[in-house]
Amino acid sequence: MEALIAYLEAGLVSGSIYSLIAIGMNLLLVVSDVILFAYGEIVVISMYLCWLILKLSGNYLLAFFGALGSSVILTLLVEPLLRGLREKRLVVETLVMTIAVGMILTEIMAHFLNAGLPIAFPPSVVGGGGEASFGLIKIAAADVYVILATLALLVSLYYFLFKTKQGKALRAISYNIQVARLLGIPLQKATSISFIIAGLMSGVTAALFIVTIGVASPELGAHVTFKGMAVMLLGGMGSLKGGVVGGYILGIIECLVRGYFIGDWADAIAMGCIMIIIILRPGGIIGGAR
Amino acid sequence: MEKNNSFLLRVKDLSISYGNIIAIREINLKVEKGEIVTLIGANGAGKSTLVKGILGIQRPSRGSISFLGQDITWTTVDRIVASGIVLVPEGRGIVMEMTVMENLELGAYHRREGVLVSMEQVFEQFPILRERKHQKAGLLSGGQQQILAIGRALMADPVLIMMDEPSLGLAPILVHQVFEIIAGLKKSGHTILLAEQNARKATQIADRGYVFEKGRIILEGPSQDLIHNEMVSKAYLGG
Repeated sequence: MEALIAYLEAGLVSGSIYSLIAIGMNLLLVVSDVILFAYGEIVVISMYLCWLILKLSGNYLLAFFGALGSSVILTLLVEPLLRGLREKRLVVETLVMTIAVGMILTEIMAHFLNAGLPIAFPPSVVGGGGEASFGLIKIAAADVYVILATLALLVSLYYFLFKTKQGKALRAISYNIQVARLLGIPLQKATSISFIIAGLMSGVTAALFIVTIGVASPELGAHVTFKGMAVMLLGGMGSLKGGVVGGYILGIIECLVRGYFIGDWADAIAMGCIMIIIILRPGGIIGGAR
Repeated sequence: MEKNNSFLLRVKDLSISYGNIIAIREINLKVEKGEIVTLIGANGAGKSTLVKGILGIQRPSRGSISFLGQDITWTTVDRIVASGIVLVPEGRGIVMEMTVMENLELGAYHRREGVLVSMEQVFEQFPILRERKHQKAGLLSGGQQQILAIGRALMADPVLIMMDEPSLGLAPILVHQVFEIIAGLKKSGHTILLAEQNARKATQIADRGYVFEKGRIILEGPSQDLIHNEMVSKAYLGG
């Protein structure tokens, strides 16, 4: 019983992070019509940046803001790259471009950052600096940070989308871009905002990865993107609610499998569950039967 | 030299093409403050294209458009709406998934102040919107959605209201209601450019009209003249 609670707690933590990734990717999809296959790579390269800044300066605050620099990377680098293709509604080409960006970022990490070796963060950072034990159940300070940060981000995002003029404009675009255009809502501005929000979220995600896992390697980027896509499919492409629900479901399934099964079955079983759910409900859990 | 500032809207020798197909050509049109100007003609004659061209959705291939003395031929949609031209689109253009109130708020996107006052005015004029303000707009009937679309246009505190087929798909009694609303808008000082297939109703409330046929204006004048014109009467007003 205790073990179950321990696994569920771990599932909540990784589920929170998965939710953040899916929401960031879904936001870009519904506002800017982009499935950003480089999202995970941007999270991980932000981790690398953070690690570099920490190594060079020893300043935790500076390093943290380095992680947040993802929004800068996203908006300044990727958004203009995709603009031309998006305007011409070239969906496949846009997708391929984002995959290419992801690969380039992975290569940069593999060749120029720490000579391609995995990076590890100091123990003072990982775990958040403390933990509490309740028998078998260990709750690290980092776990609390993850839950709090995720809650804070979700509430802020909700407030932005539902209580502000600009947020409502973004929602209008996600529902009906033609009408939004006729109303004179500036689409480019909305796209930029969605990229900035996604960037901020990916930065926070990087910071949360740092305090929970504490290590990163160039391959991690693509892996994170893949998980993000899986959650998007599970919850329903483009559904923010679905991203939250799907994220937690994936997180909890993975942790339960890791806990109760011997061997590295977590990924396979989790993906298998997702496949089954999508076959039954192609629109995703929130999306429905389509 | 012509004075442009006496007209709210001036369209000169405008042509718009979709690829190789010329949709409208050599359109010359003006709208003065406080008028209702109507564009009548069959489906596909070019009325909608002109309206979209003025809004900035369609790029002209020739000619110019000026609004309040400023050339807006190449201005982007968002700037054109911000400067005071709004469109009540064909098919209402309501965001179904958002509430009545949120739809109205979208109409005021470009405004900095006075939004609450405008919303109160819209609710005064259209009580049905106040009743349903927190309902998703998709739950409204066709007639109610048309009223919402008009209310949303008013939320922009517009200088020029363009309407594209407001009576389309509505039952006769609702058509009557919509035209009453449009006539009432003129009374409260608004300027309206109305593209309508229902030529009879449109010419009844309009001051002037332009008749579109195959992408050109074939006749123009005060609506009284159009009503009594034999050709127009036969072709568009049911004889």
